[in-house]
Amino acid sequence: MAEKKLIIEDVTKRFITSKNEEIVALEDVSAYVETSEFVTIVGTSGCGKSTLLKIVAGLERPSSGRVLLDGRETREPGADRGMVFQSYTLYPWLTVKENIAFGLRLKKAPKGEIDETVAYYLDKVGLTGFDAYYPKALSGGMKQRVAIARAMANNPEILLLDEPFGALDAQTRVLMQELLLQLMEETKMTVLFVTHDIDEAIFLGDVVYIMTARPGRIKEEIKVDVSHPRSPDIKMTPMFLELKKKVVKSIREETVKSVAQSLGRVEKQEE
Amino acid sequence: MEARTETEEITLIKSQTETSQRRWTEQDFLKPKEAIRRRVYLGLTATSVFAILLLWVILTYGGIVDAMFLPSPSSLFKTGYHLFASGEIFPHIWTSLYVVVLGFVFAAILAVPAGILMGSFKFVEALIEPVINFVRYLPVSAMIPLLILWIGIGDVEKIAVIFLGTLFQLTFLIADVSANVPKELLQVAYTLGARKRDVTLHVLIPASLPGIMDNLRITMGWAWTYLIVAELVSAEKGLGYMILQAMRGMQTDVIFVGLFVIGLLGLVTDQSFKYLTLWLLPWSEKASV
Repeated sequence: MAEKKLIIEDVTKRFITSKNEEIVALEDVSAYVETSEFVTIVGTSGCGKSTLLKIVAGLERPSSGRVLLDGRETREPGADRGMVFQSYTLYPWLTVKENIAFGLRLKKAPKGEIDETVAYYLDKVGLTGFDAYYPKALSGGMKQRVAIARAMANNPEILLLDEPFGALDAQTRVLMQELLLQLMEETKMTVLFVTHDIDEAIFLGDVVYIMTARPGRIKEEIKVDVSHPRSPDIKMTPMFLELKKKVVKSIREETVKSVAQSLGRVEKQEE
Repeated sequence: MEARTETEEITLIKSQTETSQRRWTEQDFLKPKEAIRRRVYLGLTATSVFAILLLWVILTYGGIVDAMFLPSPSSLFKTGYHLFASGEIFPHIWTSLYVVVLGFVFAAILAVPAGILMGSFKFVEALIEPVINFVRYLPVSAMIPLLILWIGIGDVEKIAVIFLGTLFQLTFLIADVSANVPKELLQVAYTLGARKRDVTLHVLIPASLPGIMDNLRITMGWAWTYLIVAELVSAEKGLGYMILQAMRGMQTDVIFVGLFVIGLLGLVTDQSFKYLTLWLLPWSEKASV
């Protein structure tokens, strides 16, 4: 059995709003990711899945609970947990090449190594020849390819992706999913991927965690027993559709609940 | 220069393709945000400029308005030529220019770092924001008498007026730019192994630069206004002073030449900022002509 690379242990996150109300964003969330495994977390909007990923990245602190990477508790963000955001986070003042080299330069890696690594990942994401472009000249899909290359070039222990294709059009999104999957199959990178897109979660994930609406909890853990390399055709197989049906039903319950909750809140305010 | 012709070409091609399917008669001038033909656009611009010139010609040569109030185009041109040919105007231009640039540069040297820090570090914000927010609403023109008492009526006083007039506004505007740098840009740096210092130097500052240039450009325009106000109150040289003297001597034509030169200098400094952005920050979304 593979070892557990990342362990999320009883993580709870509470916020105090400006009106001094307490909101429980995450409640006793426990999950893990094995080495070289691709784990997806799927949930409705506002379920705290992005907050969970930020806690794993060390960008936010849990109110209680902890996150372990290779058995060590993480408290601060670091190069061992690379992250790709939904919003475009390339540095506009750096070229594609300089963006990918950002982490390596901070590490003061030798120039030869930087050039080699950048060229390797540019090739992997299909952007060879775009080294000298500034991000403003790139399309949304290309920007996210560079963002993935930038995170991977730093050689992190785990890659965290927060709805990285959420802002892309449907066609580009599908292509990017295939590209990412192929990349991970080749590099055996460990991945934790957050999304609200059910197809995406099942297609990419070895394991899919379903989260409940606020407070966010892990509702279900589903194994996707499809071997790698996966072809896009699996989305049409009865097995995939069966899994999808299950997840859709589970998520639907949560969405209904979360809508009812926010309606309830509105009514309470109006009284 | 290359970038300019290229963009011009693109807009030209765009407007041509957009309008080629459309007949002139089908153009709808009353539809909001609708493109019109480039030729029509330029024609309209030329019309308004021409109309003003025509009105000027009629009013002056037609003898409708006294030359003492509104000089004719030819007398204005003559006066302008004389002021430049004799070199009489250059000390005024030079004085105004160096005063405005010095005051502005001093203000920028302080305001840029102060603004970046105020916008992104809560402890700096707590320290200086309340003060700046108060002083910002004191019109610098109201402080001119005080500055004259303290410093006198020389160039240093003028530099101080521009410095104080732009410093607080600029700090405030740049703080806003720095505060609006997306947090994700900083966060992603941390996940790439950056420390706090790296994030400030390699992310926060470069990300603020286009906004900083924008606000420098805007405040430079204000600096010109403050300068002329200061010179009108008291001066020994400068374009504002020249205008005031001309008023006393009933030389309306000199006033107009002065106004024209001030406008031209404002335009030139404004355009320099535009090209500076293009040259220094070619990556910026704003770097287009």
